[in-house]
Amino acid sequence: MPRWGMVIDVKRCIACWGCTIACKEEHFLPPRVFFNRVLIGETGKFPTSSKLIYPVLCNHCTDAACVEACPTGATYIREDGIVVVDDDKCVGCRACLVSCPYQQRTYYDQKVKDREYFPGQGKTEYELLGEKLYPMKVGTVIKCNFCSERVDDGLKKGLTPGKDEEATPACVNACPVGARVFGDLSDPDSEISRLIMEKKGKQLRPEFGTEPAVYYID
Amino acid sequence: MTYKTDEIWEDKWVNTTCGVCYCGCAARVRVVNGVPVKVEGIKESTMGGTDGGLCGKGIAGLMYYHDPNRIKKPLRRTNPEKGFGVDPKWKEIEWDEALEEIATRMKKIMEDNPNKILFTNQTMRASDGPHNHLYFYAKAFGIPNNGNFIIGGGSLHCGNAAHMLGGLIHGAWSIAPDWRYTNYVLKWGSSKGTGSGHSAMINARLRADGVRRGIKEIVFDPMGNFAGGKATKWVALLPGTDTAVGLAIANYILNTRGEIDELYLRAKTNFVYLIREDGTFVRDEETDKPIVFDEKAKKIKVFDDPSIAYEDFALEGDFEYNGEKCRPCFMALKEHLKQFTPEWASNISTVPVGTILEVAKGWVDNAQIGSTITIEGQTFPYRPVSSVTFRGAQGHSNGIHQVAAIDLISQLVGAEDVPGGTMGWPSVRRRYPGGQYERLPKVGKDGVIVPSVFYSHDPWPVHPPSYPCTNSGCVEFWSHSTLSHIPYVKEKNYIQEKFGVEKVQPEMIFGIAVNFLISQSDWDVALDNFKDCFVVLSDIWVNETDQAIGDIILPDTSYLEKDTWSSEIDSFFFNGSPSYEDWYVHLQKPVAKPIGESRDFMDVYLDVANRVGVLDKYHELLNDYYSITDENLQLKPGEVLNWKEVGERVLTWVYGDDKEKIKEQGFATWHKPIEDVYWRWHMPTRCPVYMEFLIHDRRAAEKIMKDTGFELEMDMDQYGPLPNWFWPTSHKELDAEYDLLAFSYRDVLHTNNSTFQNPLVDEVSQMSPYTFTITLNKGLADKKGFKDGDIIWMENKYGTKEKGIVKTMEAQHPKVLGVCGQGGLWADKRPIAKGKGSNFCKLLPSYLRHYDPITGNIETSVAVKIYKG
Repeated sequence: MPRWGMVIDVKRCIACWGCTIACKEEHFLPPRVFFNRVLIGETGKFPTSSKLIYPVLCNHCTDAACVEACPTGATYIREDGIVVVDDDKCVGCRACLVSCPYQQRTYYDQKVKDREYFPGQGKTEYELLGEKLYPMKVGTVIKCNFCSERVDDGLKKGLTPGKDEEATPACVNACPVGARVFGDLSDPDSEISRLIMEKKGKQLRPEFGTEPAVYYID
Repeated sequence: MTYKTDEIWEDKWVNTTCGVCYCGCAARVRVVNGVPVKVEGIKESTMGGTDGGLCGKGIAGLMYYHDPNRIKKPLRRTNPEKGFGVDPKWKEIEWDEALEEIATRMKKIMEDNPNKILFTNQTMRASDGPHNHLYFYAKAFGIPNNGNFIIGGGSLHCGNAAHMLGGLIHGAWSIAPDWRYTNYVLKWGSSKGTGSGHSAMINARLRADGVRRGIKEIVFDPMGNFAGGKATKWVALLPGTDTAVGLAIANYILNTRGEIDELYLRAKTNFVYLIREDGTFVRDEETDKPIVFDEKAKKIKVFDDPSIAYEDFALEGDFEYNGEKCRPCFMALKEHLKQFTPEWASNISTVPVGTILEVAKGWVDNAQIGSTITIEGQTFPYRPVSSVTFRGAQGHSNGIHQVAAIDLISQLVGAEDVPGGTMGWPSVRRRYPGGQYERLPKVGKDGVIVPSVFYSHDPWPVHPPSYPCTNSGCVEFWSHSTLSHIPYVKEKNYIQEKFGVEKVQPEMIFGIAVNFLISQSDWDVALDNFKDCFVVLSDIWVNETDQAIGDIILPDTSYLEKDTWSSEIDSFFFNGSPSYEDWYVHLQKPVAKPIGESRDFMDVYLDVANRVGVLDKYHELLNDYYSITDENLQLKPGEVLNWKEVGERVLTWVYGDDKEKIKEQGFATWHKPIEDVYWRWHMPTRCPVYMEFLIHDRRAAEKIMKDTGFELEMDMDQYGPLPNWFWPTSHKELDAEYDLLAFSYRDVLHTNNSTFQNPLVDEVSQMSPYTFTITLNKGLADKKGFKDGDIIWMENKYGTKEKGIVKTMEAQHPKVLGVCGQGGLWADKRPIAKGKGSNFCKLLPSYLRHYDPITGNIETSVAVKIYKG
C-alpha cells in the first residue's frame, strides 16, 4: 500500500499562487475558503534579510491531531495515508479545527455557502454547477483531501499518481515551476523519497510530533 | 466530498491560449455541462510553465467569462460632460447604430486629415488576438507611422529604452539569461524568471531548473520581493542608479582586470570603427561606410571588407585617413570608463564598494572568456554570465543609459546571444515545416541588425530628429520612442505647436482594452489632453477611462470566447522561448459562446474598415504582412470576410497541409535547431554599442529647437555615444520635505489593472502582504512613526496625492516606497477592483523634463513626502 506524500521545493517556488487558485477551481471552493495557501514573510534584518515563501496545505499527518480530536470518527486516515472527513459522520463540533496545529481546516456553514464571488450579484454558473458537482454539507468541516478523487480514479484507470496528471493533485499539476512533487513515501525509489533524502526534506514544525506527509526542500 | 459524476452530461477540455497577460501561455479549459470550470496549462507544449503549469492569474482567468459585470451591448454616453466623478449616463444601443456613428465620424475626419484619429491597443490582454495588426490597420486609414498611437495598458512604464536597445543589439524585443547554460546572472530591476516580463512562465520554468542546477542570481533592486526575494544575493540600490553600478563594473572589467573578450569585440561590435576627434565615424569616401584598421595588412579598410580576419580588426591605435586623425572608438570607451570608480558608484547608488567589487569579480571569474561549447555538433563561444534588465531599471529619465550600461557588461566579455549569455528574443520566427511564413533578421546599414519584425517602428536604421511633425506623437522628432510619450506630456500643446502639429489635433480615439487615463502618469493631465476627443473603446468591462471619457464602449469577447487564429502568430513580441527547446504555435479556440452581444474586436475592426471604405487597403497590407503570394489565398478587393474567414487563408499559408490538424489540436510544436537559438553568432552583424548616431541626433535636435525657439528643459547631454551617468529627474526633486522616492513594481498576480476585477485573484491578493499595500523599510517606518496597517498619504511636489495602507518590510531600501502599480481604482462597473490597492501612476509628474529625452520613457520613480491619513 502506498503512503501518499508531497515535496515542495521552496527554492523553485515564485509565489504565483497557482496552486491556491487551481485547488479552488478543482474543488469549487467558495470565496475565502482555501485548501492551499501561500505564506509569505521574511527573516533577518536589512540589508541581509530573506524572503520566506511557504505554500501550505493539509499535511496528511501520520499522527494527525485532528483524527485524535474527532469525537465521531468522521476524520480518519485512509490506508494510503490521506486524511479525509466523512461528512456523514461529521457533526460540526470543530474540535479538529482547534486541534490542527497547521490551521488547515474550514467550517462550512450556511454563511460560507451563501458567499458569492461577485457579492450582491448572484452566484455565477460556475458556482452553481460547483454546488451540484462537488456538494459540501453545511455544518461540517472541509479540508484538503490530496485530491483523493483524482488519485482513486487515476489508480482505477491504471495511472500513476504523481506521474500521470489525471491521477495527481491539482496543485501539483498547476505549479508552473515544478515546485511540487507527489508520490509514494513508502517507496524508497520514488522521486519524492529520493528528493527528501538528497535534499534533506523537512516537515513543518516537526516538534508537534504529527509526522506530516508534506516535506519542504530548499 | 466527492464528485457527483451523475450530474455531468458533458465534460471536455478545450486547448487555447491564455489571455490574462501578454505572454499567452498554453492553456486548456475544462468545460462541464457547457460551463467553463477550470484552467490549466498544456503539458505537451513548450509555451508555458513546467509540465503544463500555469501561474495563478492565468488559472484564475476563468472569471473573465463568469463576471456578471461584462458589457453585453454597445454603450453610448448621453451626458456630454466628461471627467472624473461624472456619470456618463450610459444608454445601451444597437451594434449597427454604434458602428454607423463610428464610421460616419471617421469618414468626416479622414476628409480633413486621418492623422486626427488616434489608435491605441493594449498589453493588458495582448494575447487576445492580433497585436501588431493595428499598426497596419491604421495605415489603411492613411496614417503613415506610429505617431498616432497612444499607449494603452502596459503604459509608458513599459520598455521604450529596453526595446530600443533590445532591437539594436539583439534584433529582439526582449532579453533574458540563457538559463540552460548560464551560471551567473545579474538582474537589474527585472523579474524575469520570477513571474513577470515577456514569456513569464517559460522563463520561470527555465529559471527554476537553472537555480536547481546552481545558478547564482544577483539582483539589484530597491526591494527584495519577487526577483530580490528569490536571489542568491539581493543588493538594495536607489531607483534609477543602476547605470552607476553598471559603469563601475564595466570599468573594473576593462581597466582594472583587463579581462575582455577581444575577439568578440573585434568581430561583433562597432568598437573597431574609427572615429575622429568629435566622436563621429570616419566614413569611406566612396561607399560612406565606417572604416576600420586591419592590423595584419596595416591598412585602413571599410568595416565589411571580407579580406579582414576577425582577429585583425584593431581595437586600439592612432591612424590617419585623408589627413584626418582617427582611432577606434573602443579607445574612447576605455578612457571614458576610467572615471567610474566603485567609490563613485557607491555614493550614487548606496551599494557598498565591497559589493560592487565582489559582483564585478564574480562576473569576470565566471565569464570563462575564450572557452567554447559544442551543442548539436556546432561549436559556440561559452559565456555563462548574463546581465538583464527590464521595466524597473529602464523606466527612468536616464533610461537609455541605464540599459546601455547594463548591456555593456555583457558586451565586454562577449556574453551576447551565445550559450550561457544574454539572449535576445524573440528575433527569429522560423517557418513551420511545410508552411510559408518566416521572419528572419537582416544585416542593415553599418552592419547593424534590422529586426525581422518590430512593434511600431524599426529601431534600425535610425532617423535623425526632423520637423515639422505630422502626428500628435511628434515621432519625427522623438524618432527613438517605441511609442511616443508626447500625448501624455503636460506641455503637449506647446510642443505640438512648436513642431508644427497644431493643425492635426486629435479628434477621435479608437482602441482596445486600454485604461490610459489612470495607468500612465498624472491623471488630470491625461484627462485634459484626451477629453475633447470622441473616444471609442472595445473592452469586456467599463473601466476608469471608459467611464471618464468614453463616448461609445463596444463589448469585446474575452479570450475564453474567442476563435482567434492569430493570438500567437502576432503576439510575437511577448512570447516564445529564449532557450533551446521546440518551436510552437498556438491558437485561441472558443471555450464558450460570447457573452451577451459581445464581438471579437477584430470582427469589429473589419466591419468598421468596410464601412469607412478602407477594407481593400487593409487586405492589401495584410497580404503583404504575411507575404502571401498564393493568389488563391490572398485577400482580394471587394471581399468582405470575418476574422475567422481571414484566418482560414492565413493559416493555410502559414501551416500548409497541417492547418486542419493544428486547428483541431489548437497547437503544435516542432524541433528548433540550435542555429535558430544562437542565430546571431552566424550572422555578420555588429552591435552598435558605440551609439554614434546620437551625436548626429543631438545636432539635428538642437538645430530644430533653435529654429523653432523651443525652450522646454531637455537634458541634451544624454545624446552621447557612450553610456554615461545622468541623475534621474526624481532624484533632482528630492529635498528635506519630499525626502523619499516612490517606485512601482509588477506583482506576479496582476496584469496592470485588468486582474484587479478578478475575484479569484482579488482574494489571494488580500492574503499577500505586499500586493495591496505601500511597502516601507521597517527602520524607516519606525523613524517616521508608522506601523503596519496605518493609512498614509504619499504626495508629490506638484500636490498630487494617493493614500494606502502601510506594510513594513526589511527587504526594502530605506529611502523608497514600493507600490504595486495600478490599484486605487474607482470604476462603478468593476466592483471587485474598486478601492483595492493604491494608484502609483497618478503620482508621476508629466512635464517633459520627467521623460528620457531620447526614448520618451517616463521617470517611474517620484519624490514624495508621506504623512498619516
